[in-house]
Amino acid sequence: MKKNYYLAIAVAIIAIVAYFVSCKSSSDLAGDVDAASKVYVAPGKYDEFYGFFSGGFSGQLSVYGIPSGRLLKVIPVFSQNPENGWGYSEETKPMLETSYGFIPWDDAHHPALSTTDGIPDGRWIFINGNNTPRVARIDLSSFKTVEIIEIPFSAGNHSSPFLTENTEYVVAGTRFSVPIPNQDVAIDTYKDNFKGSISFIKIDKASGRMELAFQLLVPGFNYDLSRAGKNASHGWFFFTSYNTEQAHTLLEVNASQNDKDFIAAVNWKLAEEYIKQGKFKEVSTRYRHNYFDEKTHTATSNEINKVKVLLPQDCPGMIYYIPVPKSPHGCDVDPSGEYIVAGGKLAALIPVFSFSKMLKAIEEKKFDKEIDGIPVLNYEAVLAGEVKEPGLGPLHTEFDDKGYGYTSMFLSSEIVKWKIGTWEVVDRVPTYYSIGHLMIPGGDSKKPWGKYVIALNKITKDRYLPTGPELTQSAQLYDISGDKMKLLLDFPTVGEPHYAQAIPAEIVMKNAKKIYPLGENNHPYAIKSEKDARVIREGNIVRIYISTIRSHFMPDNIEGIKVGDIVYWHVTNLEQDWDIPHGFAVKGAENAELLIMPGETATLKWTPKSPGVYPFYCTDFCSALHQEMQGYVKVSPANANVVISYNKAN
Amino acid sequence: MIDMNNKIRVIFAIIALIPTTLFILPLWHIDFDAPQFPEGLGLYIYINDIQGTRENALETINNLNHYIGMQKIKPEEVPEFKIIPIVTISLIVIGLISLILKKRIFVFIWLLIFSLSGIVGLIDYYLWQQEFGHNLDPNAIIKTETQSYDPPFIGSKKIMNFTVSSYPASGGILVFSSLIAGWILFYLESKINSKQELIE
Repeated sequence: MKKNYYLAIAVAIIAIVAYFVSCKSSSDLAGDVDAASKVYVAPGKYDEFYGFFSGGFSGQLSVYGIPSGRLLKVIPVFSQNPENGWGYSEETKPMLETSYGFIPWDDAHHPALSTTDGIPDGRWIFINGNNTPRVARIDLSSFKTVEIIEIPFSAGNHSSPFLTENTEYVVAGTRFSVPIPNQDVAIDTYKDNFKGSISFIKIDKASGRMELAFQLLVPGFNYDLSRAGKNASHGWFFFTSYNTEQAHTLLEVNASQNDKDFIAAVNWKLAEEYIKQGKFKEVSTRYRHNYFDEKTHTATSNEINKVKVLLPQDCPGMIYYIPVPKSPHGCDVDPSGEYIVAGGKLAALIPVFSFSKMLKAIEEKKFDKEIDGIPVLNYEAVLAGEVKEPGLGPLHTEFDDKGYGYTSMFLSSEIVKWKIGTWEVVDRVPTYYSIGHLMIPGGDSKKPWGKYVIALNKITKDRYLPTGPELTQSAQLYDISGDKMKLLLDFPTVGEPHYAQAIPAEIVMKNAKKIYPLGENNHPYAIKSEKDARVIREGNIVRIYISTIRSHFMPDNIEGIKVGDIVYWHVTNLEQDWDIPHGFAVKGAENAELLIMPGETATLKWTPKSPGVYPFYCTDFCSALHQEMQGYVKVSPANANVVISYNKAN
Repeated sequence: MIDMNNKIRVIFAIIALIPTTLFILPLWHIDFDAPQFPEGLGLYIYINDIQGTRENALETINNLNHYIGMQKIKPEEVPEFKIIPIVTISLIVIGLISLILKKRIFVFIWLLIFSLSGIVGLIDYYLWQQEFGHNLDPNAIIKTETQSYDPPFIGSKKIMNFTVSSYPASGGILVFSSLIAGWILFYLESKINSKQELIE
């Protein structure tokens, strides 16, 4: 009897345990199916958002579909791209010119979508080059880099390229302070000789073209990140700074001594006034401005030699410093424009400042001190509130449309959600691992589309199949539509994804170009029909005006070229149909292939080294007879007595 | 014989004027459907032009046709596009004159010319299709046993990877229906009229 009793209990326990185990596994499974269905975009269907992810040290910008995490395109910006000849073709080489020469690489950190009235409008996206200070503009109808401007008197263009509400200006603040103008002073004279600069680049409303309007010469701190004001604070720009200690060696210790560093609040509308009043100094310098014309399909690089500089001492009221605990990194403004959030990466709290309190403090002159003519405001007078015990290592904050802030925590590797106004933490979720920036579509704008938050991580470790010591970079997608944040998807990224931007797909895709109209092709070496195809010798330069159309080149037999000639293949793709690019490659070419879009002309430089016959062919599988799309070019010895000849269209 | 009454003449006048729409609306539509063209590909045939259903559609079709050795469609070289607009205007003018003259016989003649012009037009279109479908470049890239690619006159047909459909378009349908309506109206009017004549 007693034995049966125990047996019954044992069976009951086993049954209960089995029940819970089965429940747990089935609910886990249900969770996964639920997450999968939220990121599943059926074949042939479109993603809801375009996501633009910085390529970090790849110098590129990659385009993803969100929520699926599918990679759509990698846009070369500051780097050469053998896939499409960017930076290799004669037309695109000028885009990578700088005052230091041809620089086909940079460290691209922060994409910034153009905005109208503080809302992303999908016209252009900007991105900074950190190492050789530059700002690029990418046209979102062609997804092509169309403009790059170099920033003089800058080093480490990190607090860039953030935009004002109506894309009036894009800013560029220097992370490294340096001697301005640069000279070989002793490094330990940092405090005397090193300065920071903050540049305002004016953007033409219609064309998007950039022009360096003016620079502010500021105390030699490290200007790290920035955001423009919105609504009432439109007209102001906020920059975090660290190393207010002005250390020049072992910064990890020496720049971590002060309890508080600063946010520089810049009244740029007032700066515009000072420029109008002529309070600037015109300073000699040297920088490049590169522009790609989509009608000539050709870039030009111009050198500019002057910049207007404003000194805070001459311009009262233009800049104020707000004290911020411990080496702040992120500097983010909420959708209303009232709150400015700083991410003090070593601080135990997240300070939130009030724009209206800042104005009041300025009016009441609540200043603690002054640095080089810049008043330092009283911390308490400007503080709106503090998010207490948020986690470790707060970096960046984005916002949803329901009144919450989301802050990335690098050290505790998590996203923390907190309420604007009460400053209480309402949710937290782990990231894998060591999140840097985070991004909510429109989460830095006046109109967040608060459906997802994306974590942009610094470490991947065991999250994917290993690929040797160099692992993939990674982002993670979380659902934030409910009270609790929920991890939906991990996806790999190209290069380190510092920051990203996202925008509803319909805003961008309605403007997408399908082809370049041949009639609008103003390339100086374009041909509009096969009949115009020709080969011209100009001294030792040979220009081949060659056309591509399915599935042949015209001409495809060329003779009369000699060793020592410089040969330019000007390839015009005569196709006018969607998604029919042709590629071009010739044996022994020293740089890359060309990928020529319908209606476009691109040029490959070729310097044959020895006599012989060289094949050329189409590299992009264009048609059923793609393998037949080829030709031969004969190269004769340098002293050969040959004339140019080629076959002609009938 | 009693002349046509004014109300009926107004209706005929509307019918006579309907072909003016052909200067805006297409007569015929040929659609080319293939997996590689999710955005659609096709031609609209007007009385004075051939146009693509979207930008560059005609160029795309001409380029595809070179694989099978078909001649390029060049609207500026089609003589019919100079003649048909004149015929159309003449039909409208003849119609209106016949109505001004009020005599039933003139209306009958107008409807007859109108119908015959339509039939001649369709035959011409058929021959043009045959010419394009059969008169192929002997050095064409792709050759088939039948050596013909004429699209269907009306209906759908599979030509290589394309399903080619050919149907009257809005202008064609409008003019054809108005012509039928014209004949019906003429028949009814004659019947009522001959009765009235008997009564009188």
